[in-house]
Amino acid sequence: MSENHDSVGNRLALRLGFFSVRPHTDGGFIGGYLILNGVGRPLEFHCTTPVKPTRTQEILYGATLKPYLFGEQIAPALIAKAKTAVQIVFVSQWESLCLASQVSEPVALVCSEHTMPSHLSGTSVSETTGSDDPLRTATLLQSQPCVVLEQIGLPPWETVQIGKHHLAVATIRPEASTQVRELLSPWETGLDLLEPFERIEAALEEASRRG
Amino acid sequence: MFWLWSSRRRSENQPGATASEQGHVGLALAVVPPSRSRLVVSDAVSAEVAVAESWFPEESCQYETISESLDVAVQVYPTGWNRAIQRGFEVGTYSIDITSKPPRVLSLQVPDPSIAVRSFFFTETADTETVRKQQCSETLSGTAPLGLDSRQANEAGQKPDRAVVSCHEEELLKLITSGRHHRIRPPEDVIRLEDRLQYLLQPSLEAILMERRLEFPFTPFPYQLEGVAFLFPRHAAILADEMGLGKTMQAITAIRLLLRCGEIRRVLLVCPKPLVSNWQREFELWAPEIPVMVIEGEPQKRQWQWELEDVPVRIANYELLPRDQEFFVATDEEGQPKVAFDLVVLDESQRIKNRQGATSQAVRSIARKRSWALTGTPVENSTDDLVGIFEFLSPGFLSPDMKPQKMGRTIADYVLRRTKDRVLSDLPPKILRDAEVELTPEQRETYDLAERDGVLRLTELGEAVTIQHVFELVIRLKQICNFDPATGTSAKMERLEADLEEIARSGRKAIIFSQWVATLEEIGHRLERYNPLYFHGRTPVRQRDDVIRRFRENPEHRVLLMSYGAGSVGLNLQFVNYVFLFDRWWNPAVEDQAINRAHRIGAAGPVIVTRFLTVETIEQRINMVLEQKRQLFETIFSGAVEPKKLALTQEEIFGLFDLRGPSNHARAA
Repeated sequence: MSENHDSVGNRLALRLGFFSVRPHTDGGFIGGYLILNGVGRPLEFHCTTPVKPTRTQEILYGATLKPYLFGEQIAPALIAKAKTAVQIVFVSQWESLCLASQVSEPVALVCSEHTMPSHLSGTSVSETTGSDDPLRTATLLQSQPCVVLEQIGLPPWETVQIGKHHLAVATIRPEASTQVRELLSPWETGLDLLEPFERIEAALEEASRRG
Repeated sequence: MFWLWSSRRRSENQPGATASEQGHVGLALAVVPPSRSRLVVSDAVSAEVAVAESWFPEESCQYETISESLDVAVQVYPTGWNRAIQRGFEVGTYSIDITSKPPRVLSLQVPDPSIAVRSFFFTETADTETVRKQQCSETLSGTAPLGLDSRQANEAGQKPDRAVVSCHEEELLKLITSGRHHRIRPPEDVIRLEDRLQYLLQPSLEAILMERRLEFPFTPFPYQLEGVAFLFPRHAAILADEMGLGKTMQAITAIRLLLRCGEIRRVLLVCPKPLVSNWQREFELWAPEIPVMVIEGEPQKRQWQWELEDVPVRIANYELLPRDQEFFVATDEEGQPKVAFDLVVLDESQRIKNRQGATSQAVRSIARKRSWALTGTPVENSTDDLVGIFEFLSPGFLSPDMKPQKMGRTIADYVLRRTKDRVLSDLPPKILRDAEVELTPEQRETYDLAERDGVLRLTELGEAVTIQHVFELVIRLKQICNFDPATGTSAKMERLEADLEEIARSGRKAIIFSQWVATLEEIGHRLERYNPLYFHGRTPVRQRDDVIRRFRENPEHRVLLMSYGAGSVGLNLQFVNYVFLFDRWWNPAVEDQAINRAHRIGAAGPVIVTRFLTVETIEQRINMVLEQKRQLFETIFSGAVEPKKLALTQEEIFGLFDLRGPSNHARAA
């Protein structure tokens, strides 16, 4: 009985952060950061006004512009406003993995067919890795195009499987992937880590629409 | 930086030598730091090279010297003049400033972008706390973060305490993980961004249902969950699904979820009297944990029932409301209503389409926060019907003079309407057959005589003619189209009997609709061999459930004879494959309801609907009017082209007999 109580208590005590960026209609990017409790209920939501890089930034940062904007500027600005400390920050774009150098919590990319580095955009997952399977994508990216990722300034990372999800956990701190495993493994079956990004997407769209 | 050196030197070791004998021109490539950017032409070549070497202390500079002899033959003449040649070269030193002006430097500032952040905080609601307590008390564990998993609990050997955590939960899980889940979206009348985000950031409906471990006897169809997600956030809504798509289930599930979330505490459901027991059964099926009370009995008891606290769901019938109005409009000392509801749901809400009617006024006087209407036919005759329903939902929102297309746009966010064709690809087809039959000679003779005499009488009445006179003639003619009163012959009956023989042979069952009890009884006499059962206005209410049960379970009863009024709403007869409309109702919506008793979820196979129509009679003319009404409905609910006529005018009624009505333009139907 007490074990059950603990289990329920642990679940509700979980605090998970989800960060995503989407292009804004007027150019630039708009970022959203959603904090959920263990049963998926929203606790906090933070969003930016559109962040538009200058032409100079576009030229000077080149391929590193998005990692710089997403991981070093937008995400830290959002997280700084949060009142709730989270145990893991999930991101939906490769470029956001840079966030790992800015925060102490583990940062994990939730792999999907959409989570490709932007400079590979226009190339389908299957063309790049020969597979639509996220695990295979992650594995292949880890072995070969990793060189490309390093060139755009992304941190080293390690693939972790939680339920049906394949996470790329930034390993600036080596214990990060172990932390992620330990936190999520008890709940892995049926866990949908991509779904909260849909909520962020809808909320950002609404925020953009309503000004 | 590379410098090219060129020098000419006199050897000091051989002072007697002439220039022509010992002169050399040397070329040297030297590396010098930028600070020494002066080219010095001098004979002190070695000193300059030494400076260059000292700039690279770690690496020895390698110089390659290419020398070329420049011996010049000099003839010495005896004159001695040329001894002057022996004097050394006079060497002068001069400098050339080769530095350019320092380049101008343009510094570009690349500051970090300024980022403005909007923050929204959501309290961990009592809702979540309730879940925590509930789940603790139920000793359920192992559900996943984001509320998705119970299967894992089973795998871990922790069996849920309820016996019925069935495959439906897995079905929900499948929907969730497949990405085909449904979201509760904010209605358009929610203005503040914070309020809208409160809805948008919630988990999917499937996740919420699983989190609360709501059990279902059957897995809901995806469109039904869409309906629940539509109703859940709305304070004013019409669920106008076509008959048979499960409006009842959707409303009950939405009520159940709102009760579980603590959003509502007191619900009143109003339905036609014959459907009260049906709603009770449906609540028992879809929300067995919710206590339901039916308001009935003596006035004193009813008053007590109205005022009773802590009853989540009450069911009242329309007929009761005008009588009980004094109970629920009563106020306390502070002027607050003694009876107030968080939600009032009207089933078959077309019952309040007449805004001046006592029922409509009684319903509108109930104090409430949310108002929902359920109807498969929000527009039966004209747009006025919809205005009447909206007077209950949101008074003043619609006006009778709105054009149908504008009305359709205005109500779009308040109405959810789906048809079977759109959402149930696996529902057996509904096959409509218009059986056009010729009257028997006896019927034709009687009919023609009656019409001639009737029209003559109407003409003779002149300006005194009323719409009632015309209706009387219409009814008289329609009855003749069913049976000839003199001889009892009937072209429709002959056709019906032929069809029924085949149906009975195949072991199938049929429902036959008519608007008159007398007609049903006449049909029943002629179909004794099929053991027909009756379900019409004269069938006692307490016997009606038993009639339906016998028809469903007893294979001896092949035919059910129903009147439109009694059998058009709230009954589930999906085991029937054949429906006959012996005569036509004035309103196509009522006909559709009748047909949909059989053609609904769970239908055993295709439903074949036969609509009898006698040619060259009043039935054919009325059919044209009905088609126009169908067009009106389509205009409002699917944006189709606006029909020419919005309602059946008095002129059109008179036009059935090529008569001109009185000069006023009152609408008649």
